[in-house]
Amino acid sequence: MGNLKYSYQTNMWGLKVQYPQLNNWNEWYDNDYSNAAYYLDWDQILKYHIGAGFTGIELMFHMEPYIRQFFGAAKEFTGFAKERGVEEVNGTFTIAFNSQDKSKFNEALRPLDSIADFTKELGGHIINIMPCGGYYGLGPLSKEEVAQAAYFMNEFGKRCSEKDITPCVHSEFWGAINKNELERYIELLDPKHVGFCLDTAQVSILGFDIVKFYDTFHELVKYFHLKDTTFANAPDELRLCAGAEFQDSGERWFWELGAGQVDFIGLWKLLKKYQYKGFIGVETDGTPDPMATMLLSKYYINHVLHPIYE
Amino acid sequence: MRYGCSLEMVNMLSSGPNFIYKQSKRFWVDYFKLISAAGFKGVELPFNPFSSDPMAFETGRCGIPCNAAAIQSKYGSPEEFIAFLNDIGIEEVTGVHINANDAMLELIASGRPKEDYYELLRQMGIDAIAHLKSLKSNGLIVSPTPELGWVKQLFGSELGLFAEKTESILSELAKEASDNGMTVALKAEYWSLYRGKRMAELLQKVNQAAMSPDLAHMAIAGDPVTKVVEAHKDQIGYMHLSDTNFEDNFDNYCRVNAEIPIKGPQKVFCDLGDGRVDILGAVQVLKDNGYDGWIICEQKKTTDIYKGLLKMRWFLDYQIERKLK
Repeated sequence: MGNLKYSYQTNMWGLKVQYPQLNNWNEWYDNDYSNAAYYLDWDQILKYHIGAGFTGIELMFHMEPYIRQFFGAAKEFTGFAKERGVEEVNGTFTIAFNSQDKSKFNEALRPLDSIADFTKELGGHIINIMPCGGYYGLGPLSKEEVAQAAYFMNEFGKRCSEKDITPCVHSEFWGAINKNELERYIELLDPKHVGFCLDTAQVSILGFDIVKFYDTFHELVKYFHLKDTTFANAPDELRLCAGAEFQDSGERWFWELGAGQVDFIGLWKLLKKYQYKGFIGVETDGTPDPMATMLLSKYYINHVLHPIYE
Repeated sequence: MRYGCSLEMVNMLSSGPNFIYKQSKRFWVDYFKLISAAGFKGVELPFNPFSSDPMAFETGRCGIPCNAAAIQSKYGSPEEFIAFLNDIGIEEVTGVHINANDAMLELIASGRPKEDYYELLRQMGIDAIAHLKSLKSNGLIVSPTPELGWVKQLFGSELGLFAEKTESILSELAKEASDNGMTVALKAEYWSLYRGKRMAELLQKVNQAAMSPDLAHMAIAGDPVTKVVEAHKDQIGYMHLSDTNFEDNFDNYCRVNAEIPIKGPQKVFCDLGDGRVDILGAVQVLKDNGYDGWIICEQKKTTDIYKGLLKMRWFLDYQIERKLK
């Protein structure tokens, strides 16, 4: 057994995986004769993860109501996943909306407490969390707002520790905690209760060298979202505009591991140096074909990165 | 009669490959061109102004032209959006569709008290009318209630009051629309409180509104589609062509997520002509009655939105227009 286990954020399969389980595959294939029926239900999608060697999965915050509506309780979903070979639903993702606004402290905590309960019920131990809302319409934040956002996260971290959960700050290139705020924000975090999820593409797009970044903050980095990008150090006008996540041109921000500019080899050498152990997440968001993206990424991990450290 | 295309045939909550591309402006620019190439001169847009519900948050902040903010931020302004449509061959926005279920999802996501539902619905309607005005359009298509599953969960002990308040809001919206030269057209889904015969009661109470029959929904609810269209032929506006082979044998109509069955058959809708709905019969009624408005076409939840467009045009040309008497 190696030191690393792999998890995948399931957001690449769509905003909503439409069905828990198809009852009759041919109901969809007949009269259609396309591959659409392969992408409609959790039953098949979970099996793809196991087939590719990902034994953990993560869920997005927008999946919570749907999971509860279809599976009754979150733990029932975990049971469903485990029956198909998933070892752990190890984490979730959410956004700390209004964290910068002191007057909305309690209001902002309410949905986060809910996602913490959801994560606990799933059996997960990590909440990857965007530290504030989007830059467009909110930024640039004042020093006081950055400090308030960090205070908010530390308080949320304390509440999470009672549930054996670590909120891991997940910075986004389009977020209000952006290039100019990130390091100042990190300095204000309480590492006892809060971690950092190093999203290799997001942090590269912001303009940081992710290898140096990990070397500097390796004690705070408790989790990873591995993905690649061809837009390292993207200019402000691309990152900070309305709906920046969805490029008007239709171009992809994110790519399979090894298909872009991220120095995963340098990162892996540091994982070895610092003896990172446990789940490591892959998150490729929406791609033209999630199945191909998952397999290409795992190929890269197995054949390029594992010789360095596994 | 003119045929328009509903953008809701692109299922944004699907789990198909490349869903994120469908959130980009580029996708919609190209898709509008294909809609035009398929011979549709009008488009019906969805309208959802909310952002607490996570799905609404995800779809409302990108290139999907589903609210005023998206039109403004991604297409410049309503005027520029319309100019773009005209430039590629689409003459007008036939209308926008609001769904009371979106107000319910907003209520639940925001944690507001259940009484706030009514104001959310009312405000969504008022916002939609302003949106229509900005787009120089005049059809407000309204799905009048959330899924029965939600209605019963939250208002089960006061369904009479719920209906009364709903009808009052719809009447207010119909008047406001009328005052602005617009029409409210009510579209009852098979999972609506106003499914089946209750739609006729609703139309009596909201007497300034038109009826927008959605043929597949009516068929699933057990309505004799052509007879109902005939019975209401003078009230029809923005009839929606859709098709199904689905039989609701497991009472999905009263569940939350009614359109995603767990038991039995699960494919609720199919492409036009692939199902059992007498679409030709319904269109014939309108033609015989001298209807000269828009008919909105939709391949609900089609698995291939490109092929679906071409199938839809072929169906209209060869199974409807050529066979109409």
